[in-house]
Amino acid sequence: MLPVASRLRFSSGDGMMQSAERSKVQAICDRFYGGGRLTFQDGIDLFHHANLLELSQMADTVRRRKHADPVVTYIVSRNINYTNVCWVRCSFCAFYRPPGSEEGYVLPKEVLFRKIEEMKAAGGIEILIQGGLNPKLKIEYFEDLFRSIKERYGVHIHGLSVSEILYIAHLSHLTVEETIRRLRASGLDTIPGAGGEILSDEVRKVIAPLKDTTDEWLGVMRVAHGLGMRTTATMMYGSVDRIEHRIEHLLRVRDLQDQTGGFTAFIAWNYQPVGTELRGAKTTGFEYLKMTALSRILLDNVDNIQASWVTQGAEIAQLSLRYGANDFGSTMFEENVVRAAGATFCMDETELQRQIRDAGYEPRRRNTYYQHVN
Amino acid sequence: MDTITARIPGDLADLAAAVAAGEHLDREACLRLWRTNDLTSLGVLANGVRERLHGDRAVFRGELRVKGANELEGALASVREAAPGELFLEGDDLPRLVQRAREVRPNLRPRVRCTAAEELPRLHDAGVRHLVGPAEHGWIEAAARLGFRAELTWSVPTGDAADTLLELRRLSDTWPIIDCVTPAIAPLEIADVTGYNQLRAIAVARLCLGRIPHIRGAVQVLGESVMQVAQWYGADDAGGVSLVTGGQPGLERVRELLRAAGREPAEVLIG
Repeated sequence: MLPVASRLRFSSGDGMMQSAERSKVQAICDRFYGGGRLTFQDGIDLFHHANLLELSQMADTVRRRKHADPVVTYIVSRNINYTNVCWVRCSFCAFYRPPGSEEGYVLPKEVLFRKIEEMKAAGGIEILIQGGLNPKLKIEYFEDLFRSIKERYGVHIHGLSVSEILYIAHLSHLTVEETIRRLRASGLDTIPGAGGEILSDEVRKVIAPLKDTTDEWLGVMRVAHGLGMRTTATMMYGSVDRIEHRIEHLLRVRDLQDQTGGFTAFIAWNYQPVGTELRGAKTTGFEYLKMTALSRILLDNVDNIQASWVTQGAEIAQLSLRYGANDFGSTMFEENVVRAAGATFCMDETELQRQIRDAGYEPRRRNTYYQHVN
Repeated sequence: MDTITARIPGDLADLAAAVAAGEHLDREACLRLWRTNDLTSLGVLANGVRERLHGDRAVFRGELRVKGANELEGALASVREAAPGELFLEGDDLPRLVQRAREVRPNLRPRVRCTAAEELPRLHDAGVRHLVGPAEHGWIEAAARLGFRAELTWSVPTGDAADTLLELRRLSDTWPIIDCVTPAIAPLEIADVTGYNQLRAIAVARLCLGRIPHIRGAVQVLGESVMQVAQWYGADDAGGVSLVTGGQPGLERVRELLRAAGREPAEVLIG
């Protein structure tokens, strides 16, 4: 817990103790409010010694610098998990089925098309299409799929993940750049930041030893950004990581963003342990608010921070709007991955708008590039 | 004024000095607090009062809840004989239930839900000294005259809340027996039980009810995460925690949650 001296006291006569920790936080705040950029050690010190309301004030300051209007955006889109077959066996995942499993699937095109039609009928403009590392699906499968989706429906395709792209490249004997060029030419518009987990190999070796390394993840994003594609970045914290790993993650994203400017948004959520091999406890919404605030404070070069109502529920997601989040994500028609690991929250567009208005913001639909569309 | 308070933006900044001085806020100030969208500044102001009164301490207590005679024997059997805590009783014929409970589990201290003043003498005779109930039923004066202590539930209204809060304050100033107020948003009456509204009600209650010692953000109502956050928006009390074996969350879990929220957990007993 925080040392007593680190708490705010209401008046100077009330014995505000100038401990070393308090002085550190004060110095960080002075630098922050003076427009300075915060360091790795600053992130660690804020997590341990700043109080919740200080983090809220700082995060809200960055949010208002970037988004002066009291608007919270969201997108009407649909998650489509084209396959659940995956050989990587990440210990934090409850969604995958290994190759050969009777429960493995690849969605037939007509099922996938029906899902898109349902989404379009509800005013949706984007599909988020992700699956697993399925050894049977080479680049031709994706080229055909994306082309046919574009031809029929013209929706925005926000799809795949770094792991899937690396695996498609490997299976198809292509470089990462060739792979992304071909996928893009066939209709892939943007790439979600899924699979970022924690960008520290010390953690990745434990929770996903067969998955891409930190440098590989960042390398694929760098290539995509270099080709002019926009992507998001994510973080899944709270499995075996320490705060040092999380701050390292944020700063690796910030460094790449300094170089490419390709990330549209950052989304953090906590590890959902139900049904996973890794098991363990779930961190609380209190910690989520702290992590959202730290993300907003440290990622001064990423425009948007998305709230994760799917993992946190409406109450904490709504409160995160005061901890740096300016986007409420997607009105999901379905979500299968974190739901498999115990996240059971559900919200339709009306409820999502109500949550945003109730917190004092105007809800606005957006596209994948975070431009308002209504 | 500390730096976090100094950063409160213009429309609430002038209230900081009055809050810090412990003054009774007037109706207009209460309305401004209620109507603001700036939940962070509300939190900063409310937390200032909370820490001035309680520092880092956050209280909770073991509790056995019993609704009516049918539940009594089973409930009493569900807790360890020596377990200290509070027996929260509601329903009919409460004096008899209190007597029976005291025979079987003398370590449990009774608190009863009171809705009518005429019940009070019999409850007093049965040894009850602690009541809980809504402020509206006019029992506070009778309770004060008989020497009871009381906790109030504040039914948060749909519109502006200042008037009902100021009425609570007037009641407390006249009959200073009120130890704790629990803001209660009734989900059936108001379709907006949100994280935001729950924290706003707690913060504004803390700010407008400066002389009532405790504001409750109950873990059983708010859930674990919002309860933790509420301890920074004016609440200093996490409420009752089930003593029943296997009850969720248990006492140890609540201690852990409060520590993780940067507070010092303290299990307390009434009376």
